[in-house]
Amino acid sequence: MSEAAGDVYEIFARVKLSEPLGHIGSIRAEGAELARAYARTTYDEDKWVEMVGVMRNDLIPIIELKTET
Amino acid sequence: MSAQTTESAELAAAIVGAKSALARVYTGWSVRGPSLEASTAVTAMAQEEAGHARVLKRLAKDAEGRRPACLEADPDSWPQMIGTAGAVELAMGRIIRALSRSSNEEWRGRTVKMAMEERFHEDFFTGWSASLSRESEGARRAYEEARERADQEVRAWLERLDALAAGAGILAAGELLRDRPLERAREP
Repeated sequence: MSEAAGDVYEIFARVKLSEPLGHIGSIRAEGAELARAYARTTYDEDKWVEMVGVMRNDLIPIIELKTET
Repeated sequence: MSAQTTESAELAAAIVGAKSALARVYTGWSVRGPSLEASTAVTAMAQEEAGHARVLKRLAKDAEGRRPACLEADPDSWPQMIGTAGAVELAMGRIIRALSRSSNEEWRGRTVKMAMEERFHEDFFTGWSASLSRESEGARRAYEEARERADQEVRAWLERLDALAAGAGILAAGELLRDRPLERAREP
């Protein structure tokens, strides 16, 4: 059994509407449909009122990560 | 038992039969998927289909219902499983969504939550169908052959279910047979 193929999706969710969405982890999937299916079953420990995912590649850098050279 | 009650029970029995068979297929693949994520998703679907079957069994009473013939044998490969179970799941999503909008309270009450879970099953199979179309020729052919065979059998099965649902006064005739884009379940 290997790791799933595809793009990395960052997953955000919340258990109460009064809370902001928080990052809960990431999954790898080929496309939005599989991302939805995998995120739901991978992060099923809480009764989420909302869960969203975004492709890591679609995140816009605001403070760029500097790596030591 | 009235004719309408008999048809409602047969409808329930047919859906229970298909869901029980799907649960069996998924259980067999729950540790054999191509990735941990795929296996985890299949395990969850096995639990959900078994749970749905339990909920609807009460409506089936002592009726017997037929499931699609493609579910009688266990698939030999992952592409075959996706092709066979995928055809059934897409039909099942359509059936459950229609029942969740029925004016029949007994059916509507039992299928609203099911419809939400079915949409994730549809996502899984829609995603894997697209993924397999990019795979090797062997995998693609295995998927397409399984899907074509299953589609024919599922169509015949849907026609039977449509007649039962209409006869029982649960849905309008033809409700399950209209070709239209997949509709996502409404959130309650």
